Amino acid sequence: MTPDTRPLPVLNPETRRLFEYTLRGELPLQRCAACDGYRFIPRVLCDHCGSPEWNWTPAQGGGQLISFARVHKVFHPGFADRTPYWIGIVELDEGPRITSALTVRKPWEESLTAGMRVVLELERRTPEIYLPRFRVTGVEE
Amino acid sequence: MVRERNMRGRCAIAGVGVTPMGKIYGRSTDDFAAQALQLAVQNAGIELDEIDGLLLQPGIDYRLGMGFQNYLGFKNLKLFNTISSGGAGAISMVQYAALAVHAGMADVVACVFADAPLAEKTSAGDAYKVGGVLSQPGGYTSLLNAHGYFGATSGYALAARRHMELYGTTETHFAQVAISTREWAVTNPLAQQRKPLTREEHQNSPYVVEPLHLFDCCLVSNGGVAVIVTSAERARDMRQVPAYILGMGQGHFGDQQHRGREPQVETGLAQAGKASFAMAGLAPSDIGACQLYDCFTYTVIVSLEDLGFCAKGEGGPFVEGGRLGPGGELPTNTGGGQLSGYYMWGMTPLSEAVIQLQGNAGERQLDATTHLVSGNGGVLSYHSCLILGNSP
Repeated sequence: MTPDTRPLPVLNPETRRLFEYTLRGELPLQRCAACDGYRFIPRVLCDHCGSPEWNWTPAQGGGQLISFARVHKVFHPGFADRTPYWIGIVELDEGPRITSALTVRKPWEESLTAGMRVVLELERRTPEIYLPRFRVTGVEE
Repeated sequence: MVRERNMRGRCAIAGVGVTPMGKIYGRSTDDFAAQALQLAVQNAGIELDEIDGLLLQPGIDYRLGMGFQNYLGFKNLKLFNTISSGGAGAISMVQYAALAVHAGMADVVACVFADAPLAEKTSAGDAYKVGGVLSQPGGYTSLLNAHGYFGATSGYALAARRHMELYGTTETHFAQVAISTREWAVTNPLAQQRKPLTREEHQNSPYVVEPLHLFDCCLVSNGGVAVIVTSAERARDMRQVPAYILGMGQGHFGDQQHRGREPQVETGLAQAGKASFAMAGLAPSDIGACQLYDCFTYTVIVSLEDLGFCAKGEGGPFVEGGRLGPGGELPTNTGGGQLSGYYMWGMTPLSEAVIQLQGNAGERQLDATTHLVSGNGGVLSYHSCLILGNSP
């Protein structure tokens, strides 16, 4: 089996926290204590109301497909054996949109549309790093 | 004396210099920048030592920087900065130069861009290595590369697909942009790609990141471009017809992706364009030609919508029938753009507008007296707009 040489995420305090959650099977969101708005990319201030107070809340795991694209060019040798592959933008049911890899199984490859349901899945990259990504489940809203 | 705030027609671009472009090896970025500036100074009919302001923007090689002042031996600059907003930067440089000239801080400001990413025996795609283009705090940007999302093409592919899902835009619409732009490049001796492009060639070109084919993506170039910004009065004393700055604007909606926001489909260019039209006292129907940032074909379509040339979602049908090409109703990217001309970020559309307004466009010369110029940075993150005309 060829070794996995795909790039790994940078480890810093923010991503370390992310991977503590994903190791437990969860995707952490910041939930604003003032306006209840959710965000995925960590920020010290709510980008909706400006409040500096939040709580970490795991996402429910469901969302819908906003956009999708299939990568054909090998941008990094680590992906040579996996190309073409899908990336996408998904909108969590909580509101934030996330760009990530997409798992698209056979019936859906030629018929993806925005609005299809997606679910969170976690891809083991190292014993400590489970990368959050999404799988298309094919049901349209 | 009450000084009017509106700057319409108070400043002008008095000179432009464009070096040879493309697969030119063995020259440094500073060398390209210096040549661009020399050509601009000659074009304007002035001497280098008349320049008292210098604004610089590096390209993807990140080399053009503060040391360039000393490389050229400027000993008494009254204005100096490097500028950074990606493809929006060239127009922003011109705007800041105009503001400084209008405020009396400097009289003759050079704005310079140069980039030399191409190397021998390396493909353009490999030479243009960009990490995550979205700017996000901390290590979250690095998640993108881990997922296999690399650079601008991934981001623009997702943006283009969103537009297709929302409005029914098709790959054929993108192809039409590429075809019309290439028709202009055929007429431009400075352009890197001068062979006409057919729909079949476009569709048969490999996908880079689907839905974007190879010919939906801009070129890579080694080269440099410089422009000279001064007051309208000073410009009238120089050699060329001035490209008067009639309108200026910027718009930056940020990258926050969230329910209810579509920053890659309803872009900040709407704000940049609105401000420009307001300053100029003009509307889209007054614009004779467009020089639009065209890093990808999709960028042109969404720009036309956000600038108000057509309704949101109608950009695909708007470009059908060669409306943007030679003989079309809205000549766009008349030098071949970044898709087929040369890729000097925002200096590509800017330089073509100035060359046209000076009357130096040769075979592709238009009668158009006003040109709109747009700049895009990041992945539809940062936007700038200028309206230029050959009379104030």
